[in-house]
Amino acid sequence: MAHRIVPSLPRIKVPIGHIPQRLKARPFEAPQGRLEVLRQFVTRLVREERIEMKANRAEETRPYIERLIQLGVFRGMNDDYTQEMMQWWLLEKDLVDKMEHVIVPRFQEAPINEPYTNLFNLPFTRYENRVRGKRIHYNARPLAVIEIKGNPYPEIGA
Amino acid sequence: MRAAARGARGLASAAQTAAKKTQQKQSIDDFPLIYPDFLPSPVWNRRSALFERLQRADMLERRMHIDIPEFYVGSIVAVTTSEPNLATRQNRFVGICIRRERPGLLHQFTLRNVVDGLGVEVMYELYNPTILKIETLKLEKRLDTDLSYLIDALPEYSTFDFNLEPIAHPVGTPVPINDTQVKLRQPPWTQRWELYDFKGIDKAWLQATPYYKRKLRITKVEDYMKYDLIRAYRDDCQEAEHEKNTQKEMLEFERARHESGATKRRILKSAADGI
Repeated sequence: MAHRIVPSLPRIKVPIGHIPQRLKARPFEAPQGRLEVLRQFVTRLVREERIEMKANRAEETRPYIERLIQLGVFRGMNDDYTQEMMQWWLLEKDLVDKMEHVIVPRFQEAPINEPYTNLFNLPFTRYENRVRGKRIHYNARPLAVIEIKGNPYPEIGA
Repeated sequence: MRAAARGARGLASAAQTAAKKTQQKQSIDDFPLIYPDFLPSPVWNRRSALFERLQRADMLERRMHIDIPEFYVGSIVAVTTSEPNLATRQNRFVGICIRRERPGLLHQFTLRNVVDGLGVEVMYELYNPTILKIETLKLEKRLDTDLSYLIDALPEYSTFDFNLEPIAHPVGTPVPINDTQVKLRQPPWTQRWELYDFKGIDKAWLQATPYYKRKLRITKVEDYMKYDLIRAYRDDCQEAEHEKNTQKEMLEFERARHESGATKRRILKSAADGI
C-alpha cells in the first residue's frame, strides 16, 4: 500500500509523541480534522515565523514543520513529492515560494543535529476564548511560542 | 620458469580485480527497500537501540551462513526447508511473495501459490535456521507493497510453476515493476478491498455492492492520510543516520569475516546498483 520514499531523510531532531494527539477545532470533523488544524498552524508559522498557541498544539506542530523543511533541504524543491507536500500543507500558495527562496536556503548549511525550530513554554494564561455579544468565554491553558530559527524578530530569552 | 612467470601475472591481475571490487559504493539509497528487516520497529515504544544491536549481530551471523537474496513483494521466490519426516529431508515451495512484515529477527515473508486448484499461502521467517535455501526465481516489484488481495483474485494471478527456471536479473539495471492490474472474483470478499488505495486491483470500487458503499463520506475519503508526514515517519521507520551506520556495520562485519578466511560471502548487495 504505502511505499517507502527513498533515499531516507534524516531523523527529526525534536521529541515526537508515541501516539498522535487529538486536536479539535469547530469547523473540522474528525479524523481528518487533526491534519486540517495542523495545516492551519503550519501555514501561519511559515507566514509569521513566530506564533503563540496552546502548548500541546505547538508540540504537535513542531515535527511537521521540521519534516517540511527537511523535505526542502534534502530532497530539493523541484522534487515531485516535496512539491505535493508543500502544496498541501501551505494553504497560501505564495508561502511555497517563501519556503523555496527564504526558509530552505536558510537551513541548507545548518548543522544536521540541530532542530530548525524553537519551542518556548509560557506560563498558564487565562485568555478570552470566544465573545458572544456581551458574554465572554475564557479559557485557561499553558501556552507556548514556536518559532523558526533565524527569524527577523529579537531573540526570546536574550 | 615461464609457468612461474605466468602464475605470477595471474596472481597480480586477481589482486587488481579484488582491489577494484573493494572500492564499491559504500551506501545504497534503496537500503530500506532491500533490507526492511534492518529497520527499527514501527511501534514507537518498542524501539530499543540495544535490542536492535543484539538482533543485528545475530542477523548478520545468519546471513554469513546462508545466502539470503534480494526479493520484493511481487517477486517469485523458492524456499527449501528441512523437514525431518519426509523421505528426502527437504521440502521446496515456490510462490509469489505477498507480504513482508516485522522488524529484526522476526522478519517474515509469505509466499502464495495455487496447488491442485487450492490457494496456499506459506509464511516463512527469514532467519529461521531450518531454512536451507532461498532463491529468487524472478526479481520484480508490483504496484503495491502488500498483495493480500490475491486471495480474492482469480486463480490465474497466483499460479506459478513449481519447476520455474530462475530468470537472471542483469546486474546494474533497475528492478522491473510489473504493473498488472488484477481482476477480483465476485464480491463479497475477505476484506474491503474497495476502501483501500491498491493500485494493483482492477476496478474494485465498481464491483463492490451498494450496501458496502453506504457510508462513502467516512470510509472512502481517506486521501488525507498520505499527507500525514509524521504518521509516515513513525510507520516507515526510515532514518538516514541509522541506515548509514547499519551499512557501515555490515561492511565491517563482512571485512572481518573475509579476513579470517572463513567465507567470501557478501551481505550488502543491490541488484539495481550492481554491487
